[in-house]
Order: sequence, then structure tokens, then C-alpha cells
Amino acid sequence: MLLASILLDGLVTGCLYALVAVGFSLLWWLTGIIHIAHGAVYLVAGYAMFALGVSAGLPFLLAMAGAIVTAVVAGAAVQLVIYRPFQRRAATEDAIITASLGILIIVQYVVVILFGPEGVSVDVGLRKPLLADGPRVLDRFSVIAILSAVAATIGLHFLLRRTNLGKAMRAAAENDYLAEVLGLPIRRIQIIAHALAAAMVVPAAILFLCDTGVHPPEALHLVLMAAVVAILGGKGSVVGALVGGVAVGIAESGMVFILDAGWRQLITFSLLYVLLLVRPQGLFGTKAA
Amino acid sequence: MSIFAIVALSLNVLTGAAGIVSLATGAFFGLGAYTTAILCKAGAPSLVAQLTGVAIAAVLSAVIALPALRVRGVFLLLVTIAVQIIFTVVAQSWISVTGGDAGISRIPPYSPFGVPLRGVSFLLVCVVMVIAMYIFCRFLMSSPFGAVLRGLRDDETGCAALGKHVGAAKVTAFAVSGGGAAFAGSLYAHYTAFVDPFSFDLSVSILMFLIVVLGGAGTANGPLLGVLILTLLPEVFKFLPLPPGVAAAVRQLLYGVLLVAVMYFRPQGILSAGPVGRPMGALRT
Repeated sequence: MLLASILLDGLVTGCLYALVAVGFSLLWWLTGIIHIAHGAVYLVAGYAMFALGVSAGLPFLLAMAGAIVTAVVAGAAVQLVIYRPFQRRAATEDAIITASLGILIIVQYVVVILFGPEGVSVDVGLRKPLLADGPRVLDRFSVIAILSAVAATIGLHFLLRRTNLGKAMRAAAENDYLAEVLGLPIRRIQIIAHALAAAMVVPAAILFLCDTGVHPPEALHLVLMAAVVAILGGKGSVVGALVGGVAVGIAESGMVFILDAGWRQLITFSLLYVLLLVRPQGLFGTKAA
Repeated sequence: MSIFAIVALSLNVLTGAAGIVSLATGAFFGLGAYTTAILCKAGAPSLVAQLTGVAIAAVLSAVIALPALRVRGVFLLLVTIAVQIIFTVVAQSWISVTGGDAGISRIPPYSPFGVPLRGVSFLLVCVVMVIAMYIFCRFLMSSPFGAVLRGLRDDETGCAALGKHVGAAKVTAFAVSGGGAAFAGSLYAHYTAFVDPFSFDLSVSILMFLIVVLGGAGTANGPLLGVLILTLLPEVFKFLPLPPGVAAAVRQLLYGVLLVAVMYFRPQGILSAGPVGRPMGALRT
């Protein structure tokens, strides 16, 4: 029973990571950008949801729609206002990643100044056990988390494999210069990818909001987690992001059981270190990093 | 300020000369400070404690650089951020050694020659050390090793093709920079007589990186200019009527804005050292 609880807790945490990591991985693969500002989008989504759903008291679906719109606008804005001017200047990868970190810090502290450093959370009673004699962690929250991660993964996988947009995205990821020469609207594709990634952060933000809350200082941790998951799963591999997320989640929850809760990040970042040393292309990646 | 100058000079070996962006400086700075705090409290002479800290940081820094042998810049940057966070986690959670969030207080003053140094005499020692570090960096840059590092920055493949040990040079650069930061960290611990995890978190690493990049990565004088600007800037904010919590947030916000702005407008810094005709040269990896 205890083992089942640990595994399930890890699975749920992993699914939340996967939801953040899938968008991160998509952008990394498609545009080659290490999108640290993904954490900023996550914060914006979480606070938008809180403002609309709790402070303004809108119905859940309406608030979620609002949060998605806000996140998509934020994601697209980062691409338009920051990344594109940098790319036009032929900035190096390091310059862009540093700027991306800068964006995250700016958004983080704007949020702190506007709303205070405590973070926001809401208790909607999702954390009640479903079965009286089942594992305590088996609740509506876990079911929703797992379902949304699986749905997002399958949806994105389908989009990439079966639609024209997906085909265009794969072409752009393979060789964006050639894709542009062949007449693909590469800029529009990049913005759509940013919007998609931002939209997929929203369920994660809402779930965190209903659980431990959305806290400004955690955004960077979450993005790093997403980076670990994306590297583990392999660049641009959607299924890899889900598998990687679950693996990291279970590893963390095992670590928390053995040691103290404060140590949970240790295992993840040790994993990153070993991974980069041994297999930088990830579990499902094919090209060398 | 002179303590930060030592850190900035040592980071400049890595970021400026070799073109490797590291955001783990705060961790090594903290490592030196914590080693000093723990050993001095246990009664060790401060010079011994300081050198132990430097050695530990240098070795650890070299170990961290090992993935650099396989992966390129961006991944390495992620590793350094990860190291920084691990350091904070360990400092917060390993309570029996580090004191957790409360930190370690009442660290004895710096006494390298048996005489405790305080106030002006401590400041003098720090200034002398900045000058020593400056000369050391100048010497390092003009040595064959410095040339290899600059070659690494401008054209890694070409450098390797010339038969230089690219990996070894990177690992050495990491070790030097980590050791230098720990050296300064030790002075910091003596100066404030108090260490806690929050004095050495990611924002410190970002501040150090900004100092180096703003002043001009790869130049000998750039980091000193960067220190001057970025340590005086927060003082200006003290005159603004802001509540304490907001003032700290505003300062962080300013660092974020500066990161983006410097990267966009002048990635080579105020005192440029990039190759002619290639403005992004200072940060190439």
C-alpha cells in the first residue's frame, strides 16, 4: 500500500511536470530556444486563473478560457517582442537563453510587487480520497492530473503526426531555413508553437493552484524540471516528455520518502548531471545534442 | 565591494575568456563562505579554512565541468543553474552542518597571521587581494593557457584541430573560477560574520554574471567597472521611498531588465573585447 502510494504520488507529480515539459520540449525542438520564460507563462496562467476564477468569481470553464487566452497572449508576446528581435540580430544561443531568464525574473518580480510574495492557492476539495480503503493519494486531483497529461500528450502527438500544421512544424524543426525557402510561413508556425506551449501550461497551473498553490519563486524550479524532463525524454519527443516526466516524478517521490522533503530537487538535478554526462540525447532522442 | 570584485575577476576567466556562461558562481562563493564558517567555528586557523574552501570549490567546479566535455554551451548553462539550486537545497536542508535557513552566525574575524583583522585593516587586505587577483588574471590571460581559452571562445573546433586540449582547458577554467569565488566567499564570511543560504542563491549568481557581462566580458578592467556600477546602483534605490519588501523585489526586477537589455543592446559589455567585426564574439561558445 505504501509502495502504491509512493508510485501514485510520483505519477501525479510526473504528469504535472510533463504538462509543463511538453510545451518546453516542443519549443526547444521547433525553434531551438531554451524557453526559460516558460516559467513566466506558467506564473501568468496561474495568476490569471486565480484572478478570474477566485477573485472575480467567474465560473470555472469561463475562467479557464480566460487563463488560456492570457497565457497564449503572453507566450506569443515573448516570441514576438523578445525572441524575434534577438534572432534578427543573430544573437547567440547563450544570449537568448540569458534574455529568457531575464524575462522570467522580470515577470516573477512584477508578480511579487503586484500580488505579494506569498503565492496563491485555492482549496476546491479535489484532495479528498476517492476510495475509503484505497491509497490516500488516490483522489480526484490525481485522476484529473493524469488524464490531462495523457490527453495533452495524445493531442499534441496527433497534431504533429496527422495534420498539415504538424507536418509543417516537423519540417520547420528539421531545417527552418529550407522550410522557409519552400514557402512555409515559418514565423506563423513559431507563434502557433508558442501559443500551443502556453496553452498546455494552463492545466498544470490550474492543478498546482488547486494543490500546493502557484508561488513566484517556484517558477524557475519548474522550468528547470521541465528542462530535465525534456532532455531525459529527448528533444521534441512528445511521448518522451510524458515518460520522462513520470520517471522524474517517481524518482522524486521515492527520494522524499527516503530523505526529507527539502531534498527532492537533489535527485532531479543529479539526474540531469548524469544524463548530460552519459546520454545527452535523452532516452528517446536520436540526434546527438 | 572588493569581495565582489574578486568573484567577478574569477568568473571573468570562465565567462569572459573561455566564453562559458556559468550561473553557479553563487554556489562556489557560498561554498567558500560555509567552509570558512564551519572550520573557523571548529577552531581552525582562517588561512587553513580559506584554502580548504578554495580546494573543495575548485575540485567540485572541475567535476561539474565534466559534462562540458560532451555537451555544448546551453546544456552546460543548465547544469550550472542546477548546481546552484542543489547548493541552496543542501544549505537549507543539511541542518546539522549548515544550520539550515538560520545559517551560521558569529564567525570569528579574519586572522591570516594570528592577528585578527577588522575594519580598515581588513579592507586593506581585501584591496590588496583584489590587486593580486587582477594581476593574476592579467598574467593568466597573457599566458599560453589564456590564449587557448580565447581560442575556445572564438572557434572551439578550430582550437581542437590545432591540437589543443579543449576539454582540459575548460575544466581548468572552471576550477580556477570556482576556486576564486570560494576565496572571496571566505573573506565574505569573515566580513559579515554570518552566512545563510539566501546570501548565496541564484540571484547572486545572476548578479555576478551581470557584473562581468555589463562591464565587458574578457577584458581585464571590465569586471571592475561592472562591480562599480552594480554595487552603487542599489544604493540609489535606498533614497526612494519604498517599503523594504518591494525595494528588494524592485532590485531583482532591475537585474532581470538589465539581463535582457545588456543581451540585446551590448552583449559584449561596455568595455568590449570581442573580435573585430563580430559583435557577438564576447559570448560565443
